[in-house]
Amino acid sequence: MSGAELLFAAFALLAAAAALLAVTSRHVVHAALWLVVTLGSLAGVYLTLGAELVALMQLLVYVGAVVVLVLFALMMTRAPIGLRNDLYAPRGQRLAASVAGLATAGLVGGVLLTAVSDAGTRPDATRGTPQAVGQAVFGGWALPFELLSLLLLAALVGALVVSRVPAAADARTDPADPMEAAS
Amino acid sequence: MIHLAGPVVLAAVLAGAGVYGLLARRNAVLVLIGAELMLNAANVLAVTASTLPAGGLAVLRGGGKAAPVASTDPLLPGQVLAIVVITIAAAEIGLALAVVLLVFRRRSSIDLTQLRELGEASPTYEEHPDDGELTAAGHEDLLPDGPVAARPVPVVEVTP
Repeated sequence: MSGAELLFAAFALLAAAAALLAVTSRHVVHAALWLVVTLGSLAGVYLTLGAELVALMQLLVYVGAVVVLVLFALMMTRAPIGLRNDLYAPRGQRLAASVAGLATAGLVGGVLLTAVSDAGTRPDATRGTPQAVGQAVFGGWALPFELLSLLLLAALVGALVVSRVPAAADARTDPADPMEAAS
Repeated sequence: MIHLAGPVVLAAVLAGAGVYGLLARRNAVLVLIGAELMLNAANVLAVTASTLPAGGLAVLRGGGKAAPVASTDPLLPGQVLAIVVITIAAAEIGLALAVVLLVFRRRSSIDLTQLRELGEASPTYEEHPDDGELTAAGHEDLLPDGPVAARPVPVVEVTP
């Protein structure tokens, strides 16, 4: 086992274990924090696979922004602190969910494992540098990249419109609601 | 050299955990965590694919006829796709959390098993489903002053 493979295995194990904990934890906030561990160790996985810029993007966007958003949402929806037993759907749905999850993992893993069999890959770190990816993004992928910025703008405007409380409706609908009264 | 089975199994575990989290959780924010895990499973596969030599898996599994030639594709499709997915995930979670907050503001709960209807008022809409756990916990601030327990559970009247 080479050093790169060992490093990859360590990050991958950490990511998989933290992902399982993130979906099974009975503490709401702990679930979000396990997500941080998953996403952070996935950045390590990308690094060992030679994708330097993707790893940095993962840290910046996912760990930096997405998780903070999730924690803010938990805070603003008055998420319960401490051990909770009502985080799960009824038992029957839980059983069906675990069957579906195992089936998905088995299907994806089985099909891809037969596809790759015993092949190995040698990551080339020079192909993941910011320079190489930047040239690709602003060269051949310029149009999809512009579409992405349009998508982000649309999501920004959409989020504003959805979460905005109309000034006139504010007084009419729910004067007793502290959240609407505050905004 | 990294054995390809590693990333593949990692992606499978992430996808399975994502599906489980998406289906088994009641809290809407925790459901979104499951969705994020599934997006990351796709990302792992995209980045792994970007490390394959020119010709992809077919060359690697060719059986030693010719040494794999390192890919020189300047477009780096796998890595650019991963960045695209990360961006889309950021847009998605921003919008989804705005919707979750709106639901919380209207219903004082983001318990997905309690949310039976999306609409504000329809003939079949019932604000307080069977077990009543939500009604007592979530709506105190909507009730008039006075002891909550003494009052009958309010029913939303739908004007025709």
